[in-house]
Amino acid sequence: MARFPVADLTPGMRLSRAVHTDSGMVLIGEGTELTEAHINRLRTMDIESVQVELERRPDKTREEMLAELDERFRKSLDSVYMKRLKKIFVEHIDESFNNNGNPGAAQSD
Amino acid sequence: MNHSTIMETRALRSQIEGIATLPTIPSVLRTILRVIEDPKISLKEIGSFISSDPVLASRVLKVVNSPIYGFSGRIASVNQALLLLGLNVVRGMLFGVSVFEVMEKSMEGLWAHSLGCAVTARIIAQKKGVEEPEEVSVAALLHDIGKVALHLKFPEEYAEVLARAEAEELFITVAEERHFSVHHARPGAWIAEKWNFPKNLVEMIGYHHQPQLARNVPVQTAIVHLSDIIIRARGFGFAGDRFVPPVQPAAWELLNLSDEEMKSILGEIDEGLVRAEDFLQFDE
Ligand SMILES: [Fe+2]
Ligand SMILES: [Fe+2]
Repeated sequence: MARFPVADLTPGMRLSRAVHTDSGMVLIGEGTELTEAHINRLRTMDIESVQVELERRPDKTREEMLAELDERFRKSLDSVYMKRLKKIFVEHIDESFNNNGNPGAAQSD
Repeated sequence: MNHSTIMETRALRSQIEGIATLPTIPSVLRTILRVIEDPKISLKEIGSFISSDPVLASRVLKVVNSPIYGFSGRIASVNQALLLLGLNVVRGMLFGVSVFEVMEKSMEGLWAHSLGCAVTARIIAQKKGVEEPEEVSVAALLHDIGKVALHLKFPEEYAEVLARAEAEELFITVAEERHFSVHHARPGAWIAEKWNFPKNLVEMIGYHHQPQLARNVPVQTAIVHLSDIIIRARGFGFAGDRFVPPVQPAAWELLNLSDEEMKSILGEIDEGLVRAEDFLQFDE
């Protein structure tokens, strides 16, 4: 789930929280799959962003990511090539944590 | 292979090839297949065919502007897409966009796996300076089409194969071989051949787990093979099993990517996948 700028919405995105008018009436219900018409309506109103469901990688800790990596590579580490590939992945994960603390956290609540 | 296995494989092949007539294939796919099957059809005719169907046209534009191809947001019309990508690529892509529902129904996560594999393959193909990276992307998008074929033709048996792979911690290819005596790459190539896909595409699909056997496009086939492994290792989507299968040493050597190159590829994949996220589900 993430706040998403109305300007960038595309049809097919699904609201994870209802959009209300100033008076508190439900304008578009939770779970609605947005159509072109919905988006145009939102754009004419003074609403900057809405909550939408995004298929994003759940934010995981470095340890969780490494544990999953171990599990996925469990059956192929006989191969020297796979050992090397795994090592590259581990370094990649480490680097992504060093760069932004928590990858993928930028847009989520 | 003994005699009875050859007979079995032959029977399997003719069953798989009959899939075009299955009622479970969405009507839009059936129409597309008719268009794809006609080798004489021109770019212009395909363009007007696509443009006449708004759902299809919007899907095509969504795909060509997706991170699969790396032209993001710059292609505004179907005709422009056809000119930029060429007929063969668009044929494969049309097939890809039309099978995504079937893909998702066959195996939850297979669409994401295929999409991620296509993004990865495009990135590696560009890095390796392959002449038509889009062709490799299309092959990667469709590489596991044999899983869809097996599911469509043998839904119950294929569900059993999947359950087995899960319970016994088998690679999907091994579980498939135990049941059908071949794994999904061969049915994938049969169906691609039957539907008149370009022969390079058939080769990449057919040998994506044995890239060392590819004769015409060995580098491209090695790229699809490695992309499948990388995207599984990345944990994106689901391909039928939980484990990354080993890379073919010859393919790794052929591509000869340094650790630094591999890392920069992984970085580009992360970016491509973030942009691919809203693309995982289509709107009607
Ligand atoms: Fe495969
Ligand atoms: Fe695959």
